[in-house]
Amino acid sequence: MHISFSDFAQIGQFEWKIDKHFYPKMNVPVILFANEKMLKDCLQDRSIEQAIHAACLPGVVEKVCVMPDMHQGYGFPIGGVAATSVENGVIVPGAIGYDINCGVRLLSSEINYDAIAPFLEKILIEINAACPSGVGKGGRFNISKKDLEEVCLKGVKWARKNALMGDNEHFAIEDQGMISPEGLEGISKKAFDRGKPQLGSLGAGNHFIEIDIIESVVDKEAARTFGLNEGNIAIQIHSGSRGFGHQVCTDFVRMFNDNANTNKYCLPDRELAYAPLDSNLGKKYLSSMQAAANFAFVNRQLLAFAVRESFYSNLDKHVIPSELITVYDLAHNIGKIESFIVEGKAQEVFIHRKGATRSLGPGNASLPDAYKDTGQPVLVPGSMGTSSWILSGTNLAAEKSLNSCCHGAGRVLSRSKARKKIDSEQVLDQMREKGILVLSGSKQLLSEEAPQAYKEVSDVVDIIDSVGIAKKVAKLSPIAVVKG
Amino acid sequence: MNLFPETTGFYEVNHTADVAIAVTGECIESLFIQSLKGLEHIICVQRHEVIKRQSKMAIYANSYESLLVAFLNETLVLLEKETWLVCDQLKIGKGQLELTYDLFRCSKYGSEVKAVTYNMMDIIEHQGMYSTMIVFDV
Repeated sequence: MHISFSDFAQIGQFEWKIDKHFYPKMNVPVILFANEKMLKDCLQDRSIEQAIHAACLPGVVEKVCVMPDMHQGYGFPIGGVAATSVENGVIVPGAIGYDINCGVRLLSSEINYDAIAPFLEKILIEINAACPSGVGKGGRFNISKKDLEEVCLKGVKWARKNALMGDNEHFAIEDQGMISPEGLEGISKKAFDRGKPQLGSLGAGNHFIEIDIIESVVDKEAARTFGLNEGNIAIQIHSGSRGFGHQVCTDFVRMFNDNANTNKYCLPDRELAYAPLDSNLGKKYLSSMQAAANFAFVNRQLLAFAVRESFYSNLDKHVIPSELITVYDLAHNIGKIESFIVEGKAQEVFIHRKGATRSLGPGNASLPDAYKDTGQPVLVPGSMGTSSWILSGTNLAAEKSLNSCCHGAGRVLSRSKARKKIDSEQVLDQMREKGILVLSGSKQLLSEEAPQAYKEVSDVVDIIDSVGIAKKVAKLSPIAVVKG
Repeated sequence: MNLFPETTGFYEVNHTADVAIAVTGECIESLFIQSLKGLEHIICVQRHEVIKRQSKMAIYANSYESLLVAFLNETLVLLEKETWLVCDQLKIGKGQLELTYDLFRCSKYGSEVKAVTYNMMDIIEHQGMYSTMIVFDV
């Protein structure tokens, strides 16, 4: 498929459209949020082609959206959002991803830099020890198979029952940290075996726990509502469903491919294998994916628990108000049923978000009371050593972007190029010069995850804010990070 | 332009978010062995002492692609237990892979591969050589 810059119609300062007549099998247009340079950069890899393939899915409605942090994924672009009809649409594991409910949790505090500075290194070392990182690394919580099943069925309710979270903390989690699966029959023994020892672990790749300072506040009212005060410490936790989610996705992509072979579906990419939402296979995947999403919510809860322990054991709460409060926890690899106005009619659709977050505006019924006036917090971490942004969801997102927003900075360099071009020791020097403590189990990872390998997150956020699908609230600067 | 190695082997291909390899084998079994070597190269596996000799594994799937994905994913599951397999014998029949292998304790210092994907995977036979791309989720 040949795609050039001239194939895009510019429909806004940072909005571009590929009409559904561009490619014969497209059912809906592709809408891209980007500046001209980002768009041209994207034409260097397969991300646009992958978005066009998504626009060809059976039962896809309205449009396929691609966020400014887009880059090539496997089958479906990172930063991509696609909605399919609940009545006659399909479900696509590859459009949700292997790390089901990979997401970010933000914790706020009343601690300032001066108060934490003497303890920072010790706290970071303790967090690193308490939140094991690396592929396959087990967590510190030795849970039974029965516990794991309860995690899958009840999400963070399991953590509440076991005194691992606050009474009202679940209100600050997307879907209150629990999606109700119909059953666990679709989940393989291998997925349970892989997941059981890994609850409460960070994982690898771009996963991290980062201690930040709230550098500046743009929207004072929203920041106050979110509990974000300039100069105070905040913590971001980026992790997902670990080997459990990966095994669920692996099992179902295989079953969906077998199904495609049997039914002779013509797939543009095997990773886009799908099943009708109302089929047995589709329903089984949906339940299993929801169970993995619950696993991820609990995983981030346990990581937050470990972070709190490290803070509380080092900071005397009588001297420093050291409480860490969950501002929000949201998914950026997920599929769920949401209501939309499609072709002028309110209807339920199945939203696939891969490398994209939800962005609900003020007044939305799904929001907790605390955020009804502001819209939901949208968490946009930058690359290692750079700023992150906290945004608030808007109602314009329902109209423009399927209630969705970007999830991060987005890669520009492939991992192999990053390894060749960027020296890990130089990355560490850069971090030291900026006064950022870094703990990482892998030198190679430091090169792959270096800031130069990513887009500038502020450019991404400027586009989002300008288009109006989320608004800037506060900017965070890192002071210490544990890399997965 | 041929994207694949002309002789038996593999090399890394650029992929923005993940890691990809192009692999060629002189027969389907050789393609599978080279794919395993490619994965081992990406992960930078360092083998230590042998734990078990002559273990057996059987995998069933209805296409070569599904067999290859399942086979490589099995090795990732073993890797989570800090073990690595070295193929002794590998036989592929219709919808079935049979493997005899030695299992080693191992450590790793390369990319953290989380899953093997079907993305861009298409096993093709050309003039007696088998080739495919493999994209790993990292």
